[in-house]
Amino acid sequence: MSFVSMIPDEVLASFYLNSIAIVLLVGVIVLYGRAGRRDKTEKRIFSDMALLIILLSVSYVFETAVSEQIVPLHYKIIIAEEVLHDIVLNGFCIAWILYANYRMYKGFGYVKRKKWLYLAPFFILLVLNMANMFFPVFRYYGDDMKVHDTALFILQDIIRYGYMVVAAVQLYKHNKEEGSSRFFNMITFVFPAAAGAVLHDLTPYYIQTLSLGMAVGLALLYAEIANEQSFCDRETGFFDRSYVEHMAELISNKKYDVGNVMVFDLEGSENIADFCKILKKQLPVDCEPIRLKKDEILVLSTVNEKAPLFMVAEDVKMSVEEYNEKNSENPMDVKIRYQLKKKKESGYELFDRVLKRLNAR
Amino acid sequence: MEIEEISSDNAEDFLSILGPDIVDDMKRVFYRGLGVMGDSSEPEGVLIYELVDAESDKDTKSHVVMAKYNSPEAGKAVQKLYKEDYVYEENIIESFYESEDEKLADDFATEGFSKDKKESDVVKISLKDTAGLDLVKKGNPPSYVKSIIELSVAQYRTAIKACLFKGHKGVLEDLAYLPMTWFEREVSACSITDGNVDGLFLVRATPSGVLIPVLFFATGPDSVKRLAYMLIYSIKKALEKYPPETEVIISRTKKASKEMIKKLLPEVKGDEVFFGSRKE
Repeated sequence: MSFVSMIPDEVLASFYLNSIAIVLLVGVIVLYGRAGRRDKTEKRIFSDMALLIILLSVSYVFETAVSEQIVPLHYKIIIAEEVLHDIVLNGFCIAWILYANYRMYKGFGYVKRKKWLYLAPFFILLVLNMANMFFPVFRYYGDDMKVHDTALFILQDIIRYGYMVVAAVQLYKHNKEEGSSRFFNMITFVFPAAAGAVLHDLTPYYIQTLSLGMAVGLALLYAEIANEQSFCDRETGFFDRSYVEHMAELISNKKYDVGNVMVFDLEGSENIADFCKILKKQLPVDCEPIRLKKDEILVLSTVNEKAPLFMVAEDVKMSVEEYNEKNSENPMDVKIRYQLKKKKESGYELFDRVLKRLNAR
Repeated sequence: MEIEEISSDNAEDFLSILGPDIVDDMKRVFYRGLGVMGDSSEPEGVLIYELVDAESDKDTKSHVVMAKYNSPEAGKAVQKLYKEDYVYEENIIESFYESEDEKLADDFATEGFSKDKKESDVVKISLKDTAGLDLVKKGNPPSYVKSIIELSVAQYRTAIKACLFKGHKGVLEDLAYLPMTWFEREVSACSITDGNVDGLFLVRATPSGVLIPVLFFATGPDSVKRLAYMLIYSIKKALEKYPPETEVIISRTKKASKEMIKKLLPEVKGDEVFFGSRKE
């Protein structure tokens, strides 16, 4: 009789489902770790979220094994493990809020201002979870030697869903103000995670689809990041030439209303990476910079007035002058041109006109 | 009688008719003026206008900011030159005005402008009217709301660029061209998050001592709250610095500003004004 055949089917089912989740997540962590020019903070939070789901998956397998009494343990240890499981899941909700905010606003300033509002539910749950080690708050060990939820357990679920809703509302408001976030669609994660949660509640306890749903959601989120990375120029961190066709499609479908195009030509200079650092600092976040050629950067934006472009050009020129003073042996020489949308010209016509002039199409 | 262009170089010659605020405005990029000098080298009349949408893909319009004539002949001469030369030169497709003076409205009507009456979008209050607001009495702006005097020039320019690239310029056609020093830097407020300016409340203090809010902008989550904080901050700073009778002129050109004034100062109304326009 093989070892596997001695293991109850319930434990095997839990093991297989959660193993898929873990393999998926380990793959995502490794691939994301290799992603070039990705913000380190963003990488760290993403990896932390993946690790939390891995912990969740491991705890599910452990809980199934304990339920089927493969692993004989004192009931207090079993309860402690369940409490840890809940803390991990609650911690994931906080990580999700942090990740969503960072993707939207490139910082934690807004979250920090409301930190007690965000953390208070988590800390209340943490205290209640710790108390659960001593008396039944969310979970209890029944006479059937299995762990059951108390009526109060629903409070945890409500708070967890609350965090998801808060993040979704923030993204909705952000998209309303700034236009749709390209390469970050919350539904990509939320839908599989929600589907996993629903199936988890409807199916027998050992069919633990929550961790699998979350793993699939995170993997799909990574797929969006990988898609964005596929357009990135490694040297400068801007989009590369392949992004031109992607933008052309967005513009022709009226998902992006280009108002002007600026062109920065370094005329053969080798210090393109340094120039792009200068440009990144001077360009507002609403702009779309694309490395068109080895020494040419195209910048799209929706504004259709000269004055903002002049401001950018002036600031870039000043920064280049400062750079050249410090790097007199290898100075930059930048030519700046721009094209505004003509009266009655569509964004697509402007874009096409500029690209043809630059021989980029 | 001699008609001449008014610019920043000679605006002082027309001080008696323009007043110090318009003389100062003549330094601005889109302000234009025509003036009539009488035989005694005294100004007889002026027509001051600001170009609107001059540098965008929209058609250029002209907002007549001031028209004052000491004699009908001066008025006719200036209007003729404006219509025949300057409208054409600047590619103006429409001119419009707003004035409390019915006689001026009649003069404009003879020049082909329409004539209507409405409640002005501009309201005038005194600083002491703001001191009594509940918002100001109870509100305590947090530390991330500061005066713009604490910003470096680079931070200011980054904030203005961010504003302009989002399509906001308040009541200023020439926001991109105005240095930080043009604004009342202690009363004007900004909000800063993660080292970036994500809100601006810019106030101009004119040479005659009038305070004019000119830009009210915030982006990101809780932008409404930050707008309120900046408003409270600015009002408190203004109350510290200026006498309570100081005039504050607010333009309610956008729906949001109309609603805000209605909420904060429901009893305040604009004066009845004549307005009109002419297709060029």
